[in-house]
Amino acid sequence: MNNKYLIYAGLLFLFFLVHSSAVKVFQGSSFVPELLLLAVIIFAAMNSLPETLWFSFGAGFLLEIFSAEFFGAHIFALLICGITAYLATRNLTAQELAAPTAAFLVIGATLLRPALVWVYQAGVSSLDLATAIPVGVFLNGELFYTVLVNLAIFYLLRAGIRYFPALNK
Amino acid sequence: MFSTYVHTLLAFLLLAVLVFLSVSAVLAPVMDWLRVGVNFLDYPFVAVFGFVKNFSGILWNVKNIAQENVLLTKQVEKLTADVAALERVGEENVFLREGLGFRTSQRRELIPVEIISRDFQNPDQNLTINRGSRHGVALGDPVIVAGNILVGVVAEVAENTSAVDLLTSSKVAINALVVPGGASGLVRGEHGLGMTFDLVSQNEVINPGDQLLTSGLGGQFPKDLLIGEVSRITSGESELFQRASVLPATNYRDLNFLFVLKP
Repeated sequence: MNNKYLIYAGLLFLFFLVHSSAVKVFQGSSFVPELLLLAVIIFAAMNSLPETLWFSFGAGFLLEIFSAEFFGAHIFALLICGITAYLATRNLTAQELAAPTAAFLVIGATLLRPALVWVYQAGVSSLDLATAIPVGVFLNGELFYTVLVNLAIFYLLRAGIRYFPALNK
Repeated sequence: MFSTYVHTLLAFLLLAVLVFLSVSAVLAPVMDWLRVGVNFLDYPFVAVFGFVKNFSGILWNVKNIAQENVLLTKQVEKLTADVAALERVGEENVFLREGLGFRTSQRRELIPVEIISRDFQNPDQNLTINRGSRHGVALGDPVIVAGNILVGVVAEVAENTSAVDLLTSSKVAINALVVPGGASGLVRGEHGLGMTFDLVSQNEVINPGDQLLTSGLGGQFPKDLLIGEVSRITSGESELFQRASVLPATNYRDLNFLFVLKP
């Protein structure tokens, strides 16, 4: 297996451990950054679409471990976020993740992900497989803080990734 | 390009297969062991974040500590007096129960559990605990914190872990009664956003500050577990039933250790 994939898989799992620990300790505060979503955006900007798809799938599966939504909601949301980030960095913005591009991607993805989880949950509940949850539970004022903290962490990750040339090969 | 379509199709196909396995409960043991593994592996991160949280909490609250101390001292004095009075009433109660031949209250079995995670999307609706069917946890068991405060109900049970719906979850509805007064109604969760005390007859009197206890009706929850207190009456006089918002008896975001109550 390519070294790059092992490093990415390791980083993804590490991000998940950090994220789940932060959620556990800070009891679901809005200031906990969505590390896996940020990892998906960075990965989408630097790799091909098939690679992005499977990376997003893996990230979504990890989020399913502690999810209370119907199974698949997070996989679905991150798959769409990954594809969207990939297409945006190839068609709408520059692929270099300059500051405005990064802001556009992070804000868009932070709002898109819960909206997609809601859409998935609404679809599943229409089949009587789960309880419908109001959109306000997913898209509310607390997202503003999540966007801010995601932006801050994303710029840190973007700066940090330059020191790991193995990831850019 | 063709390869891209194939990969996209395969990814969504795999998602469909996993959903099918999840619905058929085949995936549950895998997720259960993953939860156990993650709970073990995240220990160093939890320790670091815990230290950061405690340290920043001290810095953040240093101004309020003196004020809080005065308030707590007053509360301790009041509670000491209450305990003394209740002990006396308790003794009298035992004496009268024995005299009248009443059945004494049953001892309940408690299973101590630790929260290993919360739902990432909606942390006020669902949490995961580190005990499952192997430890005696069963579907529908009430979950309490010290002091008989009801906080949730077991919603899913795997071998080693379980999922708990908090009382603020839309999946939970409990028969409750008001103290003082005895007005009865139904406490419902509001999708993780709060709780509502509903279906209370207009003939009953409820006031902000009244305490809500489980009534024991329906048999799922034992009676006299504290749910919270009436915060605000939200219904009008012309409505068929009274409705009120409920303030939980404890902060659900500060929970770490809980007890599963075996009836």
